[in-house]
Amino acid sequence: MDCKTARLLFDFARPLSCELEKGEAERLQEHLADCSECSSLFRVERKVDEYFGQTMRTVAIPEGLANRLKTKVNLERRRWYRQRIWLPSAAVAIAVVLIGVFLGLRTSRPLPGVNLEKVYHDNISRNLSAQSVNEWFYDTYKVKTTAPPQFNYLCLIHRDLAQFEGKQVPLLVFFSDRELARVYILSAKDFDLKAIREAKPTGYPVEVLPSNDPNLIYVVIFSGGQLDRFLTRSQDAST
Amino acid sequence: MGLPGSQRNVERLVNEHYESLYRFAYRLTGTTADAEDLTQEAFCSAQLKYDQLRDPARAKSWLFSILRNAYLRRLRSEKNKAVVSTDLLEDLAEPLPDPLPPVDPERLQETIHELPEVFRTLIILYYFEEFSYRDIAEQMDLPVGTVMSRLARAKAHLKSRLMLPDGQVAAEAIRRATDGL
Repeated sequence: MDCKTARLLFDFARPLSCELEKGEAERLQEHLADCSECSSLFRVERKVDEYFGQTMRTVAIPEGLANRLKTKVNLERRRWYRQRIWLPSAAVAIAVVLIGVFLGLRTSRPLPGVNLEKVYHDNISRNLSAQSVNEWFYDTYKVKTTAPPQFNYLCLIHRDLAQFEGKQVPLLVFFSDRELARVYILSAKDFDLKAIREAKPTGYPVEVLPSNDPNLIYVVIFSGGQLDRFLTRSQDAST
Repeated sequence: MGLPGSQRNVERLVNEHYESLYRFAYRLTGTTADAEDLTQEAFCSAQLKYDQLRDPARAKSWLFSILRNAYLRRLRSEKNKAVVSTDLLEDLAEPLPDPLPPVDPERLQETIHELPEVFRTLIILYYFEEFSYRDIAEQMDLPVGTVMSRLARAKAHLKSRLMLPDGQVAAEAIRRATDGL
């Protein structure tokens, strides 16, 4: 190794942070052992580094600095969470509450009143008939049906759509002499009417009545053992 | 930016590195108050960027880099300070006296502050003797060759100002040269 190369490597051969490869460091040491001029220069360089380095590193650390730093970073962390997490969360919570209050106000508007006269006529009117029941189903549900004409509609206490074996069908409920009759109107589009007629059980208060409409039958379940009490007199006389 | 580092992790960083970070800050700023402020700023910033610390073994280098960036932001907000023109920073031709004269810490600090920031940071990092040229180059985002040439000039400046008999004369020359800056 020549003097020029050796002097270029001086700065890489610092004791605490030697950046020379092992072979390079060994060649530098060999050169320094042989060259008094470079050796002297190297010693001075290291001495200068030592002088400046020691002075540079000699800085008194203020009392309590570590604690002040920790306090500061912890405060900053809390501030960060307040700004990025808590405040937005609080804003969202307030928004949710406001929306809730708004919706609450909407839903707490006055409820509609009830026209009891209309309710009376719809349910208890003495003028009910098979025809008016048919019209009621159509007006209310757009369902075309044919109510059984043989029943006494003065006894009708309820009519509506109801579930029957998984299908929604018109239901009429008659009340007479403390007994009830439930009439389900079944349509050929939902049920096998022939099979139902043939499967009529004996010994049970269940009747399957034909309709003038071949696509309909009436399944009547009644209490009291007699269906007659729910029928009109003329029908009663004919049965 | 993710969540801040946990209290435990950040406090460990403080415990392990606050002294060297404060010394670096003091040498950069020259006052205890500014050094403490800068150290605080660096740790607070590190706390927010903690998820960027991939290798905990390089935490010290990472913190020094954060501190230097914080220092540069401050410098930009300050008015231009009188510093030595880089033209005056030349390699030293004269041999140093033997034995070397003692170094006065106050004069060392003054002399460091005569240097432009890039030279000042380099010389401080170099004399902390804890960073390799590669570390310094990485921290300052400079090629290793540039780091070496600037360090040679900065060291020559310190030697001429602090170790040569006519250092005071040189200082006067520098003051005159920088009066107009």
